[in-house]
Amino acid sequence: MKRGLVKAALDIYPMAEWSRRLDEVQQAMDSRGLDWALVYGDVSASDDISYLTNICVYWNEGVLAVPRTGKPEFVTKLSARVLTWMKRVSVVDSFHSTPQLGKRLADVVGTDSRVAIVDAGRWPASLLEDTTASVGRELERVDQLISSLRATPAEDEAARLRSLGAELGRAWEASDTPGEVELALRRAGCVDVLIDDDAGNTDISAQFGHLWVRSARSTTSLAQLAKDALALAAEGLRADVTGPQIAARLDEVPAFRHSGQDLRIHVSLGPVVGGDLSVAQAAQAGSASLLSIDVSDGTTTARVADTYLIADDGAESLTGGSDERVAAMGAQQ
Amino acid sequence: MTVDLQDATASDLAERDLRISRIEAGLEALGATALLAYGAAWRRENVRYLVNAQIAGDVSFVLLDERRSLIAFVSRTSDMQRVRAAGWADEVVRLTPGSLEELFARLRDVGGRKLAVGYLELLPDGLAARLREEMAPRTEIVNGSALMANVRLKKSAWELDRHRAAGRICDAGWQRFVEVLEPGLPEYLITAEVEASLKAAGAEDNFMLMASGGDEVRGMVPPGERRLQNHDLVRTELTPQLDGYWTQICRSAVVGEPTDGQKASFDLFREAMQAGLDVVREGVTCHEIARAENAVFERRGFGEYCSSAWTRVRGHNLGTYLDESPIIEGNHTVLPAGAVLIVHPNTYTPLAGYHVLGDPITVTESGYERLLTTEVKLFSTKEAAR
Repeated sequence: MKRGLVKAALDIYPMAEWSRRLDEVQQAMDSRGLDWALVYGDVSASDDISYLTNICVYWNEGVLAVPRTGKPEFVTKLSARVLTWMKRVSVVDSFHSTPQLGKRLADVVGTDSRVAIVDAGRWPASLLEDTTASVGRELERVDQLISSLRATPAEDEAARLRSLGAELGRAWEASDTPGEVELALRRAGCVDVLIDDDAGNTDISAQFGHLWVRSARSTTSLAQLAKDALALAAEGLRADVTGPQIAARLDEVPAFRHSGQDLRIHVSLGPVVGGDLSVAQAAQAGSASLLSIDVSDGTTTARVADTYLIADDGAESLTGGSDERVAAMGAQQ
Repeated sequence: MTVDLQDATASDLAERDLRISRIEAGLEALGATALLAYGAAWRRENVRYLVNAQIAGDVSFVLLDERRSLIAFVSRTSDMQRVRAAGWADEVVRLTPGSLEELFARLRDVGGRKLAVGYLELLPDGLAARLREEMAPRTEIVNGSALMANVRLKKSAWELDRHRAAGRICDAGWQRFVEVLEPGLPEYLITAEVEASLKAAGAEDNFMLMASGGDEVRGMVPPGERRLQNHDLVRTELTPQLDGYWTQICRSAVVGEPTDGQKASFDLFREAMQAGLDVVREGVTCHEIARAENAVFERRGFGEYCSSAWTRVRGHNLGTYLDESPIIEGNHTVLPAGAVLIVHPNTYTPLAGYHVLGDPITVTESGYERLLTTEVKLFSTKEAAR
């Protein structure tokens, strides 16, 4: 449940930027001949909706109905009394509060329109069935219509990611407990902070708008080994590299080779959040990715991770928190 | 990975067995022989209920099979460690990225003709289709969400101990809330400070909505950058989770001296909350509690503000989820002794804008037990400073 600062859309970006994002999606819809694109989000995953509108799905569920022309409409299970606030902080004018999302979506898209479900695999099956039945015709499916557009942050978004990463780095350095890290991040205006803290490993994700950074630190007996492995792995991080390729690179180093020993090293490269079970994919130039290392001897596990901005010839750590870079970020602000 | 059940205490294991027995009774009524509880990233309460451990990963499942074994499927190493440490699951399986083969392999072993799935309605489309494909034609899949909601409704003595402990940190959280209020403070810093105090007291999580201002305020939302002013009514719904159990306090505090309108508003809400509490006893329905609260508003000429245009619910049950069966007219769910709920007649009126007041309680044979010690009064920073 999100409970941090929700800034108004126009206090984050000018209207021209919000219009640019919508135009880009509508052009993609136009090229596919789609009249409507339906984008599902719940409190745990609504970054596509946030990217287009600055709507904060702080709890519950909703669907953004994006028309080929004109402004999107938001259909949500959140109660009507909070829609005035949603209107105030977003760039959407039209809201619908209803427990029956599918039925209301059918009213919104009308008859005789070509409607696409965006990332249908993520939709709750019951909602998809209900929406399809309510609309009364087969719905098309389009994957990554919006996530592909936001995967590579624009220049000002990259600057915000750097600032957010610097905040997380600073918070780690100035705090003794995960709770203190969270306090620092909330004071800095993060809308959400997620902490997974267990057995000497702490994994913290911080959100601003649709942007996330994440890092993990360990205090276990294997922490230094994991940290060294992450540093080495990061040296090989660049566009088109995959997690298994980085793992193979580590395996060439005797200290990290696990064959014949009890030590196991697992490398993961993927989305910053929501990627627990995602299939390994090559890092994309310009995107933010999470590189994480798990080192385990069977009884102890050390987990370290950082968020990187991927380039063709390398990667920039956003959350590494080196003093020089943090100072540089502070100067920028 | 097999778990050593000796790690769990005897009372923990008795609680685990009680839950399994209740679920088995529910499965029998459904004609099902096994339960699969699905934990979406935002609805993990059934998984939590079955493994007694905090889950942080994107996806989780627990299978209760016909041999009374609990098998947990988790997506993170940290979840594996917590589930193992809790000692309730007989086995913990780490789901592999890109594949749920381990889950389906176990499901294929499940005997019987019906599998109940808790939160079947939230299963992502791709996963639901694969599940049907794997289980057909031998096993029918039925929705087990109502079964689990019903099982979770009545809390055991073990659970009530945890609710009482959660109540204590909730009291402390509200105290911190009042302490930090001062003119000029932005809303989001209030949340940050209260959140930090709750976490320092051991809260695993917290849900918190708030609003500040005058009679223009229509509801509570996440905090913004608005700065507090004298005579603001600052409302909050603090909902910390401790040891798996969510509790909640609803209170409103005035920055400076309360106005006559704010005092009148508080009197109305106190009367409505008390009216709701007065009808609580074993066997009361959610409808009857809501009716009692709403009757006060009607009698005082504010009945229109009990509609869905102004308010969502008149309270709700609490447990391993923060918003269980709602206290609304038309919900005829019968509350057993041991049910835990908050009675909160929160709504807008022109007296002072949106006002919140509510306390969590547990239902007893003849009435209720309060789970908080915070006073039922209109708080003010002026008074706190004295």
